[in-house]
Amino acid sequence: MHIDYSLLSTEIALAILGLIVFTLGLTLPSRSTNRGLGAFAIFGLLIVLGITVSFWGTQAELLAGMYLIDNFSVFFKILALVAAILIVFGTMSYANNNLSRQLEYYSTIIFATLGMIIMISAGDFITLYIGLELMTVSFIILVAFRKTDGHSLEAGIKYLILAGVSSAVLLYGLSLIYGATGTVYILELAELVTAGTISPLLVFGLVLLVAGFGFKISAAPFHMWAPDVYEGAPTPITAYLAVGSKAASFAILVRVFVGGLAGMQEQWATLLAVLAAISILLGNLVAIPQTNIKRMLAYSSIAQAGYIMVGLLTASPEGIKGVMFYAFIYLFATIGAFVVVCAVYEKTKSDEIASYAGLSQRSPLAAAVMLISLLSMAGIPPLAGFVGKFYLFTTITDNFMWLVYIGLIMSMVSVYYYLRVALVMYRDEPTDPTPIKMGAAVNVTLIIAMVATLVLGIYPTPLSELSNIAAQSFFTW
Amino acid sequence: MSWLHLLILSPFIYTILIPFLYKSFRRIHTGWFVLPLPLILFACLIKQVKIVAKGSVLSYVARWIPSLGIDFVVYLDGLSLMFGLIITGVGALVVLYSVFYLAKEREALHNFYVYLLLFMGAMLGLVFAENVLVLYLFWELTSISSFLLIAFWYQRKSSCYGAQKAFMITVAGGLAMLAGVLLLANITGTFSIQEMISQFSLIRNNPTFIAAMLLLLLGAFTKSAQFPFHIWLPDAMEAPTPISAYLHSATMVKAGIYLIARFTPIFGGSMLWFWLVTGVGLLTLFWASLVAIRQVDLKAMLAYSTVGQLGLIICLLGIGSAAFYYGTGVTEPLYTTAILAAIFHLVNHSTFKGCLFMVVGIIDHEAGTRDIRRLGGLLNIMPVTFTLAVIGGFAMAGLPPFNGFLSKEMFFTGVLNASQFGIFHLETWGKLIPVVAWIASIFTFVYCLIFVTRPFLGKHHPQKLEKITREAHLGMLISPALLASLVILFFFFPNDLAKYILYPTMAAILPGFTAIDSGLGPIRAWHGWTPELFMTLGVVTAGLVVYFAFRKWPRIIRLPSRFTWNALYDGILEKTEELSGRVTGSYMTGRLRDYLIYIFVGFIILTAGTMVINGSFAFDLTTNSPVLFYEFVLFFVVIGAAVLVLRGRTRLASVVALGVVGYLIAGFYVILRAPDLALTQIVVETVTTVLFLLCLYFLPRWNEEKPEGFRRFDFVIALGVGLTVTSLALAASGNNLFDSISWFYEQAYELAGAKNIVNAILVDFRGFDTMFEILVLCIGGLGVHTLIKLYLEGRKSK
Amino acid sequence: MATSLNPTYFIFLSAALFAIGVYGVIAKKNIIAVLVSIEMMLAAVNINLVAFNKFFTPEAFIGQIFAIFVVTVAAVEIGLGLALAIALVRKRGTTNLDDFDWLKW
Repeated sequence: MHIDYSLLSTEIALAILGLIVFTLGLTLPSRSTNRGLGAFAIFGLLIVLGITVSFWGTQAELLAGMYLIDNFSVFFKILALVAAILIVFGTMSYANNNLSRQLEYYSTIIFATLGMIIMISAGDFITLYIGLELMTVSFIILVAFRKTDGHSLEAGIKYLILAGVSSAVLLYGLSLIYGATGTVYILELAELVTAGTISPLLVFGLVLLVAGFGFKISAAPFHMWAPDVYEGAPTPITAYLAVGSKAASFAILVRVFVGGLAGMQEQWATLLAVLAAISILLGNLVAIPQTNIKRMLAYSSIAQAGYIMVGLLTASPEGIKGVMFYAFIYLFATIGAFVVVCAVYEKTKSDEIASYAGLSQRSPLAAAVMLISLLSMAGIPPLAGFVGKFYLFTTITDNFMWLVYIGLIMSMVSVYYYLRVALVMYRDEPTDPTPIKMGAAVNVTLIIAMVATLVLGIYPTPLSELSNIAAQSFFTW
Repeated sequence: MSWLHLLILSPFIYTILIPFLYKSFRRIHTGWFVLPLPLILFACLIKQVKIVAKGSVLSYVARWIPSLGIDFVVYLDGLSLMFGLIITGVGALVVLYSVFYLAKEREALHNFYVYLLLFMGAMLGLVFAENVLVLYLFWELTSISSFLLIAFWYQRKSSCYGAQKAFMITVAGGLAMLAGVLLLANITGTFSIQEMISQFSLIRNNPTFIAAMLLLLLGAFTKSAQFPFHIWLPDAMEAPTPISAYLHSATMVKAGIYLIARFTPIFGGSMLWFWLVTGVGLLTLFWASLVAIRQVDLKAMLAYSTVGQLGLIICLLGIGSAAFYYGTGVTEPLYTTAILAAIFHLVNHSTFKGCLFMVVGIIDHEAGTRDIRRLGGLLNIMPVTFTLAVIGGFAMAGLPPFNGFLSKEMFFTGVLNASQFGIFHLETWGKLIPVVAWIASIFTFVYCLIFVTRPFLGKHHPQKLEKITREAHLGMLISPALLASLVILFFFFPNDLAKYILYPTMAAILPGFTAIDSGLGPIRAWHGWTPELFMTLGVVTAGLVVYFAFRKWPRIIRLPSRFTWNALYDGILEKTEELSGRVTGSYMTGRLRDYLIYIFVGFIILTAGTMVINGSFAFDLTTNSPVLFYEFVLFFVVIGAAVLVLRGRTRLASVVALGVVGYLIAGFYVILRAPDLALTQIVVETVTTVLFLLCLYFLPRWNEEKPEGFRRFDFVIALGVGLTVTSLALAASGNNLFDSISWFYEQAYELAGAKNIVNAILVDFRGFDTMFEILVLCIGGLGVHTLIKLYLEGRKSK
Repeated sequence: MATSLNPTYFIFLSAALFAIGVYGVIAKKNIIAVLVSIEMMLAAVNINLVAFNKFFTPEAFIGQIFAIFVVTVAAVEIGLGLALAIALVRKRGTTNLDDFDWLKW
């Protein structure tokens, strides 16, 4: 049997990078090299990103369908890597000042990325599970990384236990689907489900999968971990959880449901629609009274998960395209917001919204990026979030019009609480008027996030074409 | 890309230059740099007037988002051209005015002009857009720029409150409009407004017709501040006065009117549309005119008067929409007079209201207050301003020789006509329309009189003012004077205006309309002793009576503040916030166990729901063959040990019981012919148990804590999970088997040369997964290492 | 070794173990007890996998392989959980889950 290992070069390169960064961290003695370690990690990640981009256009399966490489997976891999690069780059000074042991920090982030990438490309349940656990275990460590901080540890144990339970539920579902069909390969599963009769066992397995994945994408009612963990975790990790973990989980959710269980669409479409509706409602309504910016962003990310789920409902290329497009623009908006949170925390040592008073005077760039990111998440044109939501919701106007109305009304609600942050930043007088100085890296990251959010809102065609191609490749298996 | 695209985009492009201009030329007021742009745009548009008046329509396409079928199509017809002229014309005057109004030393001028240009571009885009999504895009952009401009003096709490309120209400309306146009797009399969109009019969027969109409109207009414959404406009008056003159009287608030006019060919002719548009317009006119009387802030008075005048225009459009009752629209004067009156009054309103706002701005600027209780006797100090106020005020009151008189007379003709239509139950209810309109006109007359007399006549009280009042700077008077001259000009030459602007606009609303055979006579100031003239005379007489008896009125017409719409708006926001806070506080307890309970309850509901929907509870127990005795025994031992794990009094007992469960499960693996797995299980179980035992050394004892009782509620949930899972087990027995896959089995022996198939698969075919599994283990180890290190460091430091 | 020819019995067992695990997870206060309960839920999964493997796809070993992966990864989770528990005892002086409510609302 011939196995083309070159198809795995992204994964292998990332694994090697992780190990090198880990070893360097162990062997380099002085603390002053920490900064260099971060730069090295970014450099390595950029190379891996280059390798991944070169796979664009490849359509191949590996090891009898255990591993799938198509434009869909490449798209999400690029997304995960871009997220990792931007977050590491934009929060390097935060990491230097607040996390005492960077050597494990950078390598663990790389391993978490590796987990995401394996998950994104997984073609069977076992690989999926391994990728998922690699990501989860890395995140458990990262969430609890500020070990001197009781909050961080509490977030860690909460994440560990809830993730463990959700893994168990997910596995139980996978085992039932295996029992019902006799296969763990997603592509085979697709054929069997389309051809065979749908047994109760399969339906039940499906519900368990929804619950298990629902946890990973923080969809209501499996979302409770998100606010607590988002608040307690170090901010770069929160950002990465919100972007990377969520995107990768969506990728595998799409792969399993739209790719593998498309034959059962009528069984899961309503289920997902209900979850999406609850997430959108709950996420937005509960975000209103929040006083901590990280918690507010956590609730809003629950709502965002609801929006993205809308794209799955029709199991159509248009919907998948919407998911991918939205995931990508959500990345920029979220990273923009969280990098600002990091920068403000470094100066004020607080994540309370009240400490953002007068940010427009202390750092106009940070305030502008925060405002644009929030408005984009609210879906206000001409920012990218509007186009993304538009792609998602136009796919369901035929069957789920009620969900469109919920989405629209809740967009309104989200405008309200985002606007409150904006008013605090622009209206209130700062308690401490000294300007917030941000490093060049932070500025560059913020400008990238802002420009992307603006440009993709006004001229979304390039990205939308790419996601279209990627969505097509998903349906050619 | 065409010149029209460039025209829309030029303000956006120009915004990039503003900060640089502001920084490099601090000594020159930035407004001077901005002024040429609207002038040039105005000149460009004025050139098109002749072309459009001939009946031609211009349309250009630029590709934008082809994947969604969204092209940036621009469309120039009479309606959009008229709006374009108002936007650029009034825009130029406002910029000129602002140069003298805003001091270059104190204000953040670069922000101001950036927002202003942003708005101008958005508004131009809105009226020229042919694609509903592009229209929506610019629609929301006007809301955003309006927000920024109202909050321009962000240090004031009331500015921010007003800005937020305006934004919330208009954006909500915008979203409703989006839903409405999406429905329309769903019916017609196109995003083009003109194509939608050509398919109007398809839309009218669709069941979602009403929903689309209501949503669209919601958008229009919120934007144009119609009752009961008018509450944002008075608060928006916190904006600098040039902005109030521009956005909140001449242009942005008229976007709703534009929308109604644009979509009249689709919805007009339906009874609901007629009554909603006419009724809401009329009610707004009545209510706002009444409220305007008791305002003491001149700007608030103008705000309410704007609300009322917008209601008047919308009411006229509603009446005119009856023309579409007969298919594509009839062009008899009986119906079309109302539309003509609406457009005419819209143009007139932009002139006289712009003038009045600028007058208020001058008073505010020179006297330091807009409160009529502190003002008085300004006539001698500011004669020019007074003249302008008289021209604007009397035009609004509908007196000759000002343009307001003509359109007010036509308004009366329109409402009188409405009672003669003989459709939509107008035979009976139609009589009400002229009556309400007439009463509202009296109120309008009264507040116009108050506006003109109170600040200027009577005694001047310098001690009540913060600064010494002078006549305004000449530059500040240019813009209102130009508008005032238009007010008079339009009175004397209304037919030229009609020929070039009004009739082409009507042709855009009513597809079959042509000026020649319209049957509409020339607009005349004197048209004999008609009912309209008597109505006007009645308004003047009654108005004067009310004005002089007015001093006793205010208390009577004031509602308790609890019952106002503002209180409702504030209350909704406050209550939502409170409720949301309470809900969050009660369920996000921070306790893991609560979270888990929610998760499992949610899970049970989802499962049960899905099962019931899909009818999956079908059991077939007959195929179950008997279970062997020792399996039974093993079964109960495992369950017993599992229960013991949880009920164990000491932690040691629990851990040992867990070990027992693990080893027994290994026994099951043996039964199930999985010896490799059984071995793995035993090894892992041993390691885990040892690990637990080791850790117990570091952890506090359990029996130091209170013993845990049996938790009934938790048991019920667990039972629910158990039952759902078990019901599945029963259902599974009837499960059809799929063809199994034995690819690995066949390949294992040949390719890997191994007899232990499980190992072969693990190492050879699953090598990739195994590698990453080892990585997981490594990372786990790493994590344990870092976490424990903390513990050790902590001990050392002690 | 002979056994009855359908997996219902084993699914019963697995369901029972899973439910006991669920009860433990939501009813127990102590981190260690909760970790143990998660372990039992995973054991339930494994019984399923192996039983399905035995009855439905006896000649392909997918179920068993899957189970091996689950067993090992579960061990990692337990290990991390124990380490976190120790760190928490050090920092917060307790392993009672109800005490960890600094993060809420």
